[in-house]
Amino acid sequence: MKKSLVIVLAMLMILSFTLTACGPKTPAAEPAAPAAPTEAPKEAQELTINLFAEVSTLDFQACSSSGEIQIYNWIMEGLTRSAGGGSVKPGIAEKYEASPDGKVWTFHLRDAKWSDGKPVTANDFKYGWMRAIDPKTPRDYTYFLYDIVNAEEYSQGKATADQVGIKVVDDKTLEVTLKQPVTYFDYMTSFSTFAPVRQDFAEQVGDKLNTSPETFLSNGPFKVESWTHESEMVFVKNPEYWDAASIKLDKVTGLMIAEDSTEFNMYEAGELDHTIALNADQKAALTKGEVRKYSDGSVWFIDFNTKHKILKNKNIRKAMTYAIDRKSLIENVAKMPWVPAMAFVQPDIIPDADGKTPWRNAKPGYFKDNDVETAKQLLEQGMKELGITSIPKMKIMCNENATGQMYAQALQEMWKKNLNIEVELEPVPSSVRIDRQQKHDFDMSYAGWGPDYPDPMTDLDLYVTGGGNNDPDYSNPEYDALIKAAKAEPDKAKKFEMMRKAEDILMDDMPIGPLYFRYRNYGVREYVKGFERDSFAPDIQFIYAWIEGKN
Amino acid sequence: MELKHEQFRVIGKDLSTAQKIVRPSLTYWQDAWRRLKKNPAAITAIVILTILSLLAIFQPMFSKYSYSDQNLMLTLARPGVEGHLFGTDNLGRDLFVRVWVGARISLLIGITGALIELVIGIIYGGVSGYKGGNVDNIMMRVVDVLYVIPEVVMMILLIMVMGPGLFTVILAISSLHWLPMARIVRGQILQVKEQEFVLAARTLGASPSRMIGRHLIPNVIGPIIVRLTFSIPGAIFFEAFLSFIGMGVPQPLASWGTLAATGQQQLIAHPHLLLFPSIAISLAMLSFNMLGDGLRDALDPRLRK
Amino acid sequence: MFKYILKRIAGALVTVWIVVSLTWFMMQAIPGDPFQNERRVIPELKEQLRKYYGLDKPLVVQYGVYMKNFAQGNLGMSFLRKNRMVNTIIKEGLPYSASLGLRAIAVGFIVGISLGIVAALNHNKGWDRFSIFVAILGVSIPGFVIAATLQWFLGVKLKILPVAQWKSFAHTIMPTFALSLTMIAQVARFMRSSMLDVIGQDYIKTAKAKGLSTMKIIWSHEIRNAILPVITILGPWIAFVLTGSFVIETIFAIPGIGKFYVQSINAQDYPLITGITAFMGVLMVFMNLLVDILYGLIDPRIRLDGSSK
Repeated sequence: MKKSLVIVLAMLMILSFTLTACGPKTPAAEPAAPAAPTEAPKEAQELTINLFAEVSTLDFQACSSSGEIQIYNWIMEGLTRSAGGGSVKPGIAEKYEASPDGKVWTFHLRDAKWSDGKPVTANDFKYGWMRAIDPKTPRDYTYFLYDIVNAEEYSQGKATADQVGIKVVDDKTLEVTLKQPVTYFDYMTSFSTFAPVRQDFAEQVGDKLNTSPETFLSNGPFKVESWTHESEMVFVKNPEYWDAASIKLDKVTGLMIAEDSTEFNMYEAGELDHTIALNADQKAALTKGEVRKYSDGSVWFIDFNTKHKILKNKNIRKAMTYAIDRKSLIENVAKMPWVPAMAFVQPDIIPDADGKTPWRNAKPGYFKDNDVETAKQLLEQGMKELGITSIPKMKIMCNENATGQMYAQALQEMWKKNLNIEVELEPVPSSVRIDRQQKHDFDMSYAGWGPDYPDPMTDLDLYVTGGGNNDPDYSNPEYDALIKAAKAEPDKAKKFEMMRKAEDILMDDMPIGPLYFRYRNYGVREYVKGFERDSFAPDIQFIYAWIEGKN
Repeated sequence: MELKHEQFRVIGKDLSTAQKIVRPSLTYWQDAWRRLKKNPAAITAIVILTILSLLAIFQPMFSKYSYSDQNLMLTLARPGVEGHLFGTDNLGRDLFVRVWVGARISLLIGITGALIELVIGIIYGGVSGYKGGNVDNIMMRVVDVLYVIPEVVMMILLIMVMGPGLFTVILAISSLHWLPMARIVRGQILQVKEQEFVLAARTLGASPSRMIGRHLIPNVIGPIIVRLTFSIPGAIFFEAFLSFIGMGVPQPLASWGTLAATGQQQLIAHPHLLLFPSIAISLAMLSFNMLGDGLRDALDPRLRK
Repeated sequence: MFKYILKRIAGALVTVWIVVSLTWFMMQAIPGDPFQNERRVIPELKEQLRKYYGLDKPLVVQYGVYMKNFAQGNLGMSFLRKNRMVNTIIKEGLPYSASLGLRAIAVGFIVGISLGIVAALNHNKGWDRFSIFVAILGVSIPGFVIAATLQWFLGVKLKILPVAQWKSFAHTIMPTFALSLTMIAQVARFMRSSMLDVIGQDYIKTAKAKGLSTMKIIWSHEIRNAILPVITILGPWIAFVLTGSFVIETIFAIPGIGKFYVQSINAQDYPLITGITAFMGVLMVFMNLLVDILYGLIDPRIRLDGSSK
């Protein structure tokens, strides 16, 4: 199940995230690029990776999938740049500050150039942002800019362009006025919707913007050298990039190989330097040094439709969750480096109130894995509450590919064996699955979620009543109140306490049954140094990488 | 050279010899069978298909495993381990029983698909050819149009609309498969219907359905049977393709196609997952094709000697 | 002749129109939504997007707009590839699919014809069975099994051919071979029965009686006459392989249009799938027409007056 890991999309749901404590902001010190060799490397600085598939679009204002955001990150730079682990560092903006009330943000641009040598100005940002909210061309993520004064109104034709709170003070200064304080606005500006676009160039190429090498204008570490649609993209170092001195790679070739076994075969034959993911057999075939593991950030679970005639009972939902043998699913069936999930928020990558200790450490799990005894009791109790003596056949919706069906079948058998509940598989393509999940047209569904930013709220916010991603159609006023209060709470310790309570409630009501936290093995040649994978988008990070010891 | 009368002698006539039948009188079918028997490839095919069918029917009945019994402690076992003749799959299910359950499903799809094709094709082609004129024209135009629709697109669309399932797969596969059959039947009927015995039947006042059913169809059965032996493997193959794109029979049910498609992804590390289903598919495909070729030769009057 | 061609073209247009309409309406019936993402697009924006793409209008109006554009050769914008026209996607993918397809046809045709000839000349003898067995073997193994096995064996194990992609002649060998297998069996069989047909004809006996050499009979009488009907199955085949093979293109990562058959339906990309189906339809109808005309030119017994008997 490949899943788009979009950065800030759930941001919308935290628009009401009104924080009061919001003093002037000084960016954190720039994290140093990995220690690179001092003398000029002798080997060809070329890297070949897999892009998986052709992007849907590289009109940056419309980008949404992880693949698109990665490419944006390689060839462009916004006011800020993603620095891994869900943090940002200054990009084209050398420094920036927010007003004491947190509503006005001022960005000071550094001397940066486009790939044609012309300077990057504040106007380029304004032009790009106005494109994003252009009422004539709606885009999926237009709403990212709705925090800005009158942006929403303008995009719906209810305000004029000059009323939008984006002001070019001078060539090097951009001032943005927000509707309400948004503490993480600097994080949002690293996202591709906030890309700069140069007016004269955009008007010259028109509709063709960013569709072929000639219609790209880059201000980032790399630029597009060639693009054979559906086949490959070649990126070369952009000498005009302001930090070009830190960039070691001269050329990066991105192939589009969608078939997993083909990708691995190409890696084995030396035609690729990196594979997106490895299964157990593939891992075993490689040498230890080239296999690496990372958390892709996602948590996987079963969505229970809380309006279903049987699954509306929380004890039955709990029984179904407890009766799953996660360890066996992971070790015997999937043979992947996953971690059993007996809670919702991911371990390792989401910090607690202190910003360091992982949130999960305080409470690793809410129940025991494979707790068949308790499950049986809960089932009996649930059936009594519903006044039924047998459970009718239910269905689980899963991905149609071989692995999707395989995992769902393992669950099917566990439920049958442990609880004597018959469950039927409903394999569907992902477009159908998402559509039906959204319409709550299912009994159970095998689903996953990746975090947008390193805060438990990125997960917990999903299950407020009527939330856009609340697939189980879960509703608990107490939960809603806690989430709302936590968002408004200025005190971090109190805020995290509320979120903890919210997770307690969620795991007691169990609209979702956690299965596992996904970690992945991937292969990368040992001669590729400084290559990273990240739990937060953009996943693949190679801009500071270099080649050493290939020959 | 000169012939003289004395060189010849009257021997009289021997009625019994004159009326003796030297070559046995054979019906069309007896003759076909006689010739089919002489074709070792076709006979081998029949033997293989019989064995495959018997195993498909009986093996799952007597196996100590069921096709859906999982054993997570013994996943991906090699062939022969702990009594699993073909090894086990990712869920620890016995591959041997799954291959034969797969045979049931695949053969079911193949045969049902072929039967649907037969019924629709014969009715459609029969009516079209028999009626002739404008009816024929319109009916054949419809076939021409449907011919242009890519079969793959039609199958996927149907499965998306109707949802996954064995029935859906069969329906999707047969949705356009009857077209060639309809054409064949029509062509044959057009030829046969000009012949005298048809005229005779018509003069005697036979109804159209009787005409088609009793007189026309039996006379065009040869090419139809041949076409059938090719459409069974065709349907099995289409199911394999659908499995490859994830639209085959939903698990835990197995077909040769789903088994092979799952195995293909693990070809290097666990070749047995691909090997056994592939061998089964190939054997069946080869047999059906060889039988078809044999039948074509046997039923083709032009090759009668 | 001219009138006949005109009539056929008119019929072809009607056929294409029906096929396009059928595909278009069926796409409307499948569940799902093209503006779908794992992270949900907010409802108001979805409405705006639907409006932008004209999907808020009644179906009949949408259909009218589509057909109007279609008549002008505009297949619309793809949803799956947001900033690209369906026309462009087909135009860019077609050369790959066509190149692969034509190579496969060439290989399939040559090998198939040869096997068919060998089989017919040795009717009911060992070589007959052997040739047909070889031909059938190719269709007996599913395409994805052959492709995956070849890729691993020749590409990874022996490292003699590139694993995937379509860049040089070496890249084309495995996909071409894998795709041609289906063709070989069909051509071989067809050629065999066509040859057998010809061999039984009186003019072959005449030629033999006149004392022509066996080689000459086989070459200038039998093969020549037998190959003619085989050409008729080429038309649909060309149309079929030009539009690509999903399996081969996926496994060998070839940027043709075959993969869109499945992808575009899965992604609810109505314009793309309808466009490709329409394109395929036009190609198919055109190929059939061409074959008929060519056949008429080659074979004087067939008159192009449109009457079947």
